[in-house]
Amino acid sequence: MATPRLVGWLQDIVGDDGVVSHPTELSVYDCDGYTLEKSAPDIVVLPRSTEEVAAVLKLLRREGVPFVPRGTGTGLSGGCLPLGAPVMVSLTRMNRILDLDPVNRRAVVQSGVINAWVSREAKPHGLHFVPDPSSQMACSIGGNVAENSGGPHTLKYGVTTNHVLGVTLVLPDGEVVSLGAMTEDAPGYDLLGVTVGSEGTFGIVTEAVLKLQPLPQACKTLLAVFDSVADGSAAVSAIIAGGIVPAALEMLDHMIIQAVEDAFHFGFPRDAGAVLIAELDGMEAGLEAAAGKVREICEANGATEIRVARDDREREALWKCRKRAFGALGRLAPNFCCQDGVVPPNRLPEIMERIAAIGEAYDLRIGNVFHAGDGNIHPILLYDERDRNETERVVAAGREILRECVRLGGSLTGEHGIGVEKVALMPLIFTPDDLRTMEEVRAVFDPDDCCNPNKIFPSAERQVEVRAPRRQAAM
Amino acid sequence: MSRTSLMEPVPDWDGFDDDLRLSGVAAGTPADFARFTIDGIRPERVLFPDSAEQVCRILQSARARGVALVPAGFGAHLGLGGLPLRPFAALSLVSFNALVDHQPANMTVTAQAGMSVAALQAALAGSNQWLPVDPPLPAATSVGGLISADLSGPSRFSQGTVRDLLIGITVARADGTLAKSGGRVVKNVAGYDLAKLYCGALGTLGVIVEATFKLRGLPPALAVGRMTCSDMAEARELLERIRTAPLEPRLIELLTPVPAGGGDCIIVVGFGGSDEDVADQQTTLRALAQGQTLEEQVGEDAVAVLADLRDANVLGEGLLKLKASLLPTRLTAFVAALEDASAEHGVTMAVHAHAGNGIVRVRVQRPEVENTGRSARALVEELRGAAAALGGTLVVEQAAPEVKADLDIWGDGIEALPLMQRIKEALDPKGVLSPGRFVAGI
Ligand SMILES: Cc1cc2nc3c(=O)[nH]c(=O)nc-3n(C[C@H](O)[C@H](O)[C@H](O)COP(=O)(O)OP(=O)(O)OC[C@H]3O[C@@H](n4cnc5c(N)ncnc54)[C@H](O)[C@@H]3O)c2cc1C
Ligand SMILES: Cc1cc2nc3c(=O)[nH]c(=O)nc-3n(C[C@H](O)[C@H](O)[C@H](O)COP(=O)(O)OP(=O)(O)OC[C@H]3O[C@@H](n4cnc5c(N)ncnc54)[C@H](O)[C@@H]3O)c2cc1C
Repeated sequence: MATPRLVGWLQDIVGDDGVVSHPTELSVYDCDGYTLEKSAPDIVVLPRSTEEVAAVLKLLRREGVPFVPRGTGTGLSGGCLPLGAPVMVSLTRMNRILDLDPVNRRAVVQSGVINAWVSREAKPHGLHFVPDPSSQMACSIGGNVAENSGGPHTLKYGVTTNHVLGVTLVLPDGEVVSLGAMTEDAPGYDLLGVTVGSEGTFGIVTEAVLKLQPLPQACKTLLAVFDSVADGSAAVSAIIAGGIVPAALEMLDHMIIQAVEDAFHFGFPRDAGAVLIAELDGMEAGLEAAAGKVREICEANGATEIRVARDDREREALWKCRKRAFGALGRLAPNFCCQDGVVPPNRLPEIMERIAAIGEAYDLRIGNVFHAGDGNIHPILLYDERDRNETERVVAAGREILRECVRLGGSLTGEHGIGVEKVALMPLIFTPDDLRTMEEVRAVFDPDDCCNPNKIFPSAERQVEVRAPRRQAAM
Repeated sequence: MSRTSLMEPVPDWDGFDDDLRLSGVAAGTPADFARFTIDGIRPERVLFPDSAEQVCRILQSARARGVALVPAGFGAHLGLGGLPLRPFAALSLVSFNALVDHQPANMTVTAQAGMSVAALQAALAGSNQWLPVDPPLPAATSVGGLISADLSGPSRFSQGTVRDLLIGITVARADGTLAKSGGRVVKNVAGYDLAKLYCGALGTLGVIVEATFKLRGLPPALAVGRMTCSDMAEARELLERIRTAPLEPRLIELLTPVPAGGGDCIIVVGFGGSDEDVADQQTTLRALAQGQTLEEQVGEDAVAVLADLRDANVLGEGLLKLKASLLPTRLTAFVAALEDASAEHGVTMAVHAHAGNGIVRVRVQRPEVENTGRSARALVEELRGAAAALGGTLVVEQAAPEVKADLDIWGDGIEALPLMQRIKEALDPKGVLSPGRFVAGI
């Protein structure tokens, strides 16, 4: 498929340095953060502008070649795995912040801009971009838009969809459209709203208008230590039921605490069953009282110790531990699979019990680090991919956990998306009519099914099966 | 050949009636026909289904019989949107008024589409929670109407609009099947977020049957401060001070007459939160407002002020009502354009803006303009041009039928219009739902 002709045409559009077609270089692109399955594209093309993206897609359309958009490849559901899409369009060279308007609180950025850069640039103006995935130092705004990403601080302030006002989208036929606007309430259907979270199946997002939020006046970060995840989860439910909306409510279980402590030496109690990080923000006045209430609730639910970050440095160290928890797991096993289910927060104790039971039944080590406040759990299943049988058990146990989430009234994914990973599970929560409606909408944007094919929808004729990995994972 | 015979099916009303009789759908009384009259056009039938199955059957029959349907809630105010293109049956979901599932511990609620926003809020208040939207006339606004008309109020500044709060939806499709998207948990990215598509679609894509929202705790304390400025320059300066002060306002509203001098130019700022937090912000506001008169209300009095503010535009006089969307910094420039237009057209206007969001509602108050299409069109076009020159948009929210017939209430140059038309075609290929009422005659 990587015909020299196609490579040549693509080079004509993006320059010689903008096309990758050598097999060794292509292997870098054979998976994202979901490493259970791998497949390298034939060609990677790296445009620098909306016009180049449009020209590339027009060419691919003419040649009948399906493609897959890629941000920085931190996705955790295999969203940018090139399945039936020989060409990958990587947005990493489109990494400029085009405009920052502090008075109207907007930023216009190219889609390859790294999430954390936006807040870094906005900070001198007392503003930030709210969605803060744990991968924010690496993931792109385009990826955030495609996955409708969340993060620890989206509990109170909402996820990506609540902070994007508009995007420039290049449709699969190369047409450039602008959805949403710089202003609110643009007349017409909310096509922007459906595009956010469409997992790169509508076209390629090249630019986005982001809403910026004022940095909170003050914030207070507590760390509560519990004997068990069940106690911690009960505290989470009680905090929410008490009408307090913390900016973040994150939980780490015993296994994760140990890994993080080994890696960062923050001073987490190594024998704790669970720690809960609760952050409150807002006006200085009233914050102390709210923090007091959270402390009381934690104590009433069995917290054995409560610490409060004394200054910004301690607070930042704490968040660094949380956000890099995944990385720290490398010490525990050669591979891990991070699941992403959701339950109503008051069912957290139940799902935690079920996860422990599933871990035992499948003889797997499972750790938990999660956005407790909105019931978004991230069970982490450790394994060694050289052990084929263990790998298969990981896949089966992951599915069982998600089934339990659904049974408890939850969902299959809170932020990582369906991608290829969860395609087969979609019928657990959607009827054929539900799915047909989504596919009809998809066909409006991508009638030929050539933009990121084989994702999200479990259509019988193009069923994707999760296979055992073909190569050593790159974690 | 006329457009009608080419594009529009000839409705078989008798067959439709037969189908409905078989399905046992309740029909409206003469009073209901008046209630669901849109811009002077009476519905041919008024239907009150009481189950999702009945809604689906009505849709199936309408499709087969060439009948147009306009979904509705209480229907008293179907004035938003274009003139119906064809004779229609009104399909009111007011019998769907149950609270399906409220989970206080999870801060979510599922309600049927015909429940009034006021009833919903009352039910939630028992758990000290609310759906953080404040659309006008909550007792006369159904959940379905709230979503379909994308209604919002002053609180959108801090709480967002319906689209930000809607986490799941069940819709009866134009082909008479039920389809849902989203779910009942706050965080969920399984499948496309189709709920967004129905927000503001004015019932052109499906009939909303049920919706799930995320909730907030009711703030224990509320306060509003109302400041009077002598002119827009002063107002602008005060708004800037509010914006940069250590405050977290729940709302920032600007009310001004055009031409200036016809009344006071007023800024209203609202706070909600804990007692300490609200008291602290009030102190800050007092310091800011030196030079202006500041009237303050707290608790129930604040609630009353906010209710007036919420309903003001809807209840205020003037049949020609416009909504402009601008960058917040362009607000003053737009008011200046309004001043020019008022002088030129000899009209007075009442302006009410969500100042933090850049949403400006304009009520045109001189009756001549309300009733003569031509002059109204000239005025709308002029103001639309002014909004566009400032990078914004302007739509007509309410106008006399003869005015609507004479102008495009949505304006042209709508971005991505072909995609929107394809969405309509994909989800309602036979044009059963609210034909003609949405952008570009969708
Ligand atoms: C350690 C770690 C922690 C994480 N923590 C979080 C978290 O807290 N919250 C969270 O939500 N996610 C988290 N993630 C998941 C991931 O970072 C997000 O999904 C992120 O938004 C993906 O961005 P990306 O640029 O890496 O996208 P990619 O992985 O490159 O692509 C993801 C999907 O988006 C599509 N896409 C990318 N760019 C575009 C574009 N410009 N136009 C159209 N489609 C596009 C791709 O086709 C693909 O389907 C985490 C991942 C890791 C590895
Ligand atoms: C005199 C007056 C003036 C007003 N002016 C304004 C104004 O300028 N701006 C403003 O924001 N509000 C205004 N309103 C308020 C607003 O129009 C209504 O509150 C709102 O329409 C909701 O009423 P409803 O639930 O009865 O919906 P309806 O009036 O019955 O319907 C409103 C819209 O939603 C659609 N719809 C209703 N239910 C469904 C459903 N289940 N599924 C799909 N579609 C549905 C309808 O087709 C229609 O397009 C005004 C109200 C009055 C009385």
